Amino acid sequence: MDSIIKNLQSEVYVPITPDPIWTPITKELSEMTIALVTCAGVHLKSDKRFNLAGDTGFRKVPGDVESDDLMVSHGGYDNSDVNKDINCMFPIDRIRELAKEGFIKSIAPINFGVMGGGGDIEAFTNETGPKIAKLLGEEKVDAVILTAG
Amino acid sequence: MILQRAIEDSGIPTVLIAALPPVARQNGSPRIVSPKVPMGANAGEPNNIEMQTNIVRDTLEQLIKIETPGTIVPLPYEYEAKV
Repeated sequence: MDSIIKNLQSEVYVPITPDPIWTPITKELSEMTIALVTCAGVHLKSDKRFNLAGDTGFRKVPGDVESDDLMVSHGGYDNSDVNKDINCMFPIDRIRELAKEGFIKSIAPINFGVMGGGGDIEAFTNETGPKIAKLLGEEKVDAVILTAG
Repeated sequence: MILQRAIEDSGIPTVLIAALPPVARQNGSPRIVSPKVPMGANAGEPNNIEMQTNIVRDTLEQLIKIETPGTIVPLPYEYEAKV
């Protein structure tokens, strides 16, 4: 039997799911500092826009920023909703309201926007991702909400 | 998902609000919630504070509830973009 199937290969593309990654929760929500990270191209209006042709950089968003001072530069999705209200992709006002009512402890002092949805996957995986993770760790962030895809 | 995995791998738990949840699971996202939203309004209808708050609050609750990597939890909120 082995000799029969040995040189056969499926013509159907089978995507490979990467190995599971898991960090357990150790705190109550009311004790957590939560950061927002989005691949939707969010950044300060005063910051450098993303290069719509491909950009593996990231932009820092302070936790106390006015949401009116944020904008999006991203060529990969319809920006019309997020241009009306940044919170529909980057719910920073909602997180702060939940912190005010005590549902969580606080919003992180630093949050992040990148322009995801493709591009240099290797750079995102080996450079951008670990850099952002390290900065979040330095800010003692307890958990992260992401919006993407 | 790449960023989510990098952050989770560094020891910080994460949850993703996804408009395309099967793609997120395929790419190894550890925790996924999926309101019925289009790409571009993952956290809910623009200027609908009530919907956005509910989505964010439920997302945080699922952050601590989900026990298995790759779990998708649908959220009962719907927004259809007018295009």
